[in-house]
Amino acid sequence: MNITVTQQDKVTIVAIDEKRLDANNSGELKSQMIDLLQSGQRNLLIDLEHVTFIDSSGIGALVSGFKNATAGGGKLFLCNLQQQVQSIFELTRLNRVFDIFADRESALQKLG
Amino acid sequence: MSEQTPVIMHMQIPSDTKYLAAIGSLVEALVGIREPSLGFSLQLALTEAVANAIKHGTRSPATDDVGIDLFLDAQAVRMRVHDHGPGFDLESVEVPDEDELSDHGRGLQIIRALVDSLSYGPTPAGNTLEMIKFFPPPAAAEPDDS
Repeated sequence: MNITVTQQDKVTIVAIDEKRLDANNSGELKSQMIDLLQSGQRNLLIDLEHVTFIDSSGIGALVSGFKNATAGGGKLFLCNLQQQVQSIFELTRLNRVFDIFADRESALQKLG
Repeated sequence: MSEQTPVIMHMQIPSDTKYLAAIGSLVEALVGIREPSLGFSLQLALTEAVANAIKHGTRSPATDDVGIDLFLDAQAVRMRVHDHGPGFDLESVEVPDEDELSDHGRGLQIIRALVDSLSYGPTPAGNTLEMIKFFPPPAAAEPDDS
């Protein structure tokens, strides 16, 4: 699982540098988000620009990150969802749970 | 592809999630030739089914396998995933409670939303999850004014 982590003000941006987020790599993402939260990062913005395929396992990893961030007093947000990825969030109704932004700029404007 | 000639494929893969991308991409490409609008959704349905078989349907992940059959003709795509696990009752699997916000258990919910027919039960090949998606009827031809 390749990710790029950058910090902007109080928000830790996690860019997923993979085309797929599925049962083969979702466990790694889950662990990496836990590591970030345990190292003191509270607010995670997950940038899914490069992800063109996500399954229930990938969604589960993001739900896990969301719950862990919230439990620690922080938040987890999503941005840059491809249309087909967005459709899976709508199918599972998780678009009503996550704050989903069109791009990083609009997310940081709201969160910063 | 002539729409009169079916595409028939059988695969047997090790019980390992690293095969998911290759299988999913192949099925998306094959379905996409016949019906581009369904390639992604049927890749997703098959990925969920195979991942479930790997996670719950293998006796020994290190040595077991998962079987996959694809039958694609002009009317529909039929996908069967065979596992060797103890099996489960498809009807008793409930949709995850949204309020509980579970981080697992959405695989069958997604499959149900993407296919027209879903069944699971014992067959000579093991326990078999069968998914059928019917293609939309071809659009009526435009009248020829020439």
